[in-house]
Amino acid sequence: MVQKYIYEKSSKEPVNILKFNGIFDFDGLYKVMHDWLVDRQYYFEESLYKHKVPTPAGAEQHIKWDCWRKVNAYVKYHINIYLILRDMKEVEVIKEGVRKKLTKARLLIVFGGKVELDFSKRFPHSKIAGYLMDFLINYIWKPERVISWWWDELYYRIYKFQRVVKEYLEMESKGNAYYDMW
Amino acid sequence: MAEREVVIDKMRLTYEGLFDVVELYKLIDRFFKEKGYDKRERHNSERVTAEGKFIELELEPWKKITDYAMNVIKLRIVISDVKDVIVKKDNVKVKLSKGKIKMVFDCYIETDYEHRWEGKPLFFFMRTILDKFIFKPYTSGFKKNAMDDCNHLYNKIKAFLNLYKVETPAQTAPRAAITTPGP
Repeated sequence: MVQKYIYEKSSKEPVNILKFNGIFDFDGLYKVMHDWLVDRQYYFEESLYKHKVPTPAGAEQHIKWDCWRKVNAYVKYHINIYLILRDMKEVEVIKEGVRKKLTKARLLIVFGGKVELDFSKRFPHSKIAGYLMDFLINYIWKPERVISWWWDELYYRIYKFQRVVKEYLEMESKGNAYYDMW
Repeated sequence: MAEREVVIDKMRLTYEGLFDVVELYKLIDRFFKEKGYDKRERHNSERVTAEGKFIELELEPWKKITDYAMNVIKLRIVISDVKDVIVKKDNVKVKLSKGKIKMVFDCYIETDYEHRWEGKPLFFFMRTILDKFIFKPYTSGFKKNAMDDCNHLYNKIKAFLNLYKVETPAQTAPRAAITTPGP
């Protein structure tokens, strides 16, 4: 099936892996990431929130977000975020004369995404409908176009999202020359 | 599987001294965009150590040349012991970083990236024959372009880090196009 092909093409590997080890404002980061998704009308779902019993090294948290947004009646974007915090400890820092509670941890963020076609399952009800869908994708739209229209848009939007995170964490490799793509 | 032909294998660049990390990253990112490469940042890691920041990046941008072949430049960057320093430049205080940079450049030509020629043994056989005897002039042209892109980036970074006094010309044009001043 073409649908499967598109799926595989898009979600074979994560778009990007970001690692950060240091002191940061986790509550603020959570809010910035959440707001970015909600502002862009993504349905936000936290499918996993795991907090492991803290060890002397610190606590461990696993957070998974599955966010989606309908583009049109046929296409849906998914952004999948997986946050892992290890050796998580709360520290008090005085920044510009203000006492602040920040988090010291090893942070790993996996950004992923996929384009879902025919999310309302209109076509695969019967064999003929399945063939029609194949014809539509292979000969009317063509897989290459499907990928370059929708997948490219989602791909570069995920990079924009990643830039927001990098800027919030004040990483040295912040910035995105591809800011004008989509 | 798509076939990867190595054009540049582990070309290295090392540097120790003053530089601007943010500007270096922007230079690389902008270079790839201007050359028409698609962004692929596989891995980006940063950690704070006692000696300074440790940054690790793995970029693998690609550019489709035809439906059959694409250029891939793989760039691994390790920046260690990064510390902020304030330097006086033309009587103006500038914030720079001090540290060590290690870069490894790899360049490939990836053919049949859409896996169209590997479904059947006959297709695979035909592809190999065509690659070997018919498409060879095209493939070597692609290789040359990929190599030039990679060398251009290498020279640009070298110039940025002041390893050259003057930026060298881009090696994207054929040799004859680089004019030398006459007597």
